Amino acid sequence: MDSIEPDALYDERGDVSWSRPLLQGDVFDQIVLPGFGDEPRMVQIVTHPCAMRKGPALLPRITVAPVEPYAQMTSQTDWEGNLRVMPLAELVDGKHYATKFVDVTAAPAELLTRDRRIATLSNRGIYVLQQRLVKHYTRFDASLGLLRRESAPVLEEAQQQWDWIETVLTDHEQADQGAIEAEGKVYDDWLSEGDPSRRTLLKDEVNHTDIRKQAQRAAAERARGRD
Amino acid sequence: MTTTIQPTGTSAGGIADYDDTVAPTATRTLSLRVDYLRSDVDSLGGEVHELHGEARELDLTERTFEKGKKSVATLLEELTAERGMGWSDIAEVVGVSVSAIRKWRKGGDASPESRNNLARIAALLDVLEEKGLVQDPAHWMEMDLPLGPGYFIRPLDLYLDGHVTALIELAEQRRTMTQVLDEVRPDWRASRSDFEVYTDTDGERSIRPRSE
Repeated sequence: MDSIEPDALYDERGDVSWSRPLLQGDVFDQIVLPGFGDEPRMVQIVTHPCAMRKGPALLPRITVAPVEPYAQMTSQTDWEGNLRVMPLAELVDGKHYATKFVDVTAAPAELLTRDRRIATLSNRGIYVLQQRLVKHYTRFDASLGLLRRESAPVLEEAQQQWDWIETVLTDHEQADQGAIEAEGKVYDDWLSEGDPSRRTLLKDEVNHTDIRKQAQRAAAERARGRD
Repeated sequence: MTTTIQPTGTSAGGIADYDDTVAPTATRTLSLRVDYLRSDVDSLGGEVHELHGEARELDLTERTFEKGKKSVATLLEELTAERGMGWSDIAEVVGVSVSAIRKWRKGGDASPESRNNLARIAALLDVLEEKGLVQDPAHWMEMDLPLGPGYFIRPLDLYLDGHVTALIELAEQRRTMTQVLDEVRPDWRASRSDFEVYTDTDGERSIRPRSE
């Protein structure tokens, strides 16, 4: 089992970019979870990125787990001895938390809004979360390299969508969830073009650099067209 | 006339069985000369290897210095739009988050160390391409090395570990992948996974035990 330092675990904490698509590992605050009382709480999305959406739209319910204060993992033994949680060190104000896998539940997607998102994970952070989820549910050790390979197409697509939205939308528009979702649909349509489609090509790493360049050119062109 | 006793390989092998005159003097002299010659070549080869390494490092340092004159936004444009490098890979190389990189793209400040890291990877990609080593260096860096099923080691991983010279040697095909990995990652064989990634019935990737 791998451990990870906070600087490598998170992509953002606190002020999170709205343009980044919702992904596995995202942490939200002020969520009232059905069946968990009336108290708003923090939750982390634990479902795999390819099981969150139908097309570009989120499924009505997303699998999450509650995030609660937890002791800091100070050694490798700690990381290997607390397999029912995903440690989230220094998540808020330098304090340590953890995602509790035993309380996994489903949250209505409309609760998981961008203004409530308080942290996102790096790709490596997502692999570590996946590794711990797999271990918790199956007692199976999956290597990070294997998980990287498995997640590569879906994470690449998310990165490209994020890049597209930031390139096309103005700063003002990037604070508008509706505008972000609409532009996300434009990227999704662009990805569906061609035969085979760009989305199909993206499933093979051999094509990643080419599709990235194409996406950057298309987004820049679209941004110029809106000026 | 001296009778030469040839060893048969079946005798007891006593020293007395072998005559001093078995090898003519000229042959021994030749053998010794070749011994010395090979030692000289080996020694020279070591020095040339070392010198080559130093020259490469100097070349990369100079190129990095030149690249470092560009703005951070221009370097990022080069790495992403021209090279097609992924944001997450750039972030890993520089040692910061993807979000930090995106802020620099919009004109945010990067530390001198981060700027140097960006310049160095840009310089390395130039070296790989200009020497005709790799057609699409950004692509080559992120692909798993063809070590066989179960291995997930990319040239980028070697770069992140600081093995730039080994990486160039690999691209130049001066050494095989296994020779390079034996040197820089002696335990690489132990990393072999018993599992493989495949495209599942729903079109998404999944993991299963390797069939071999």
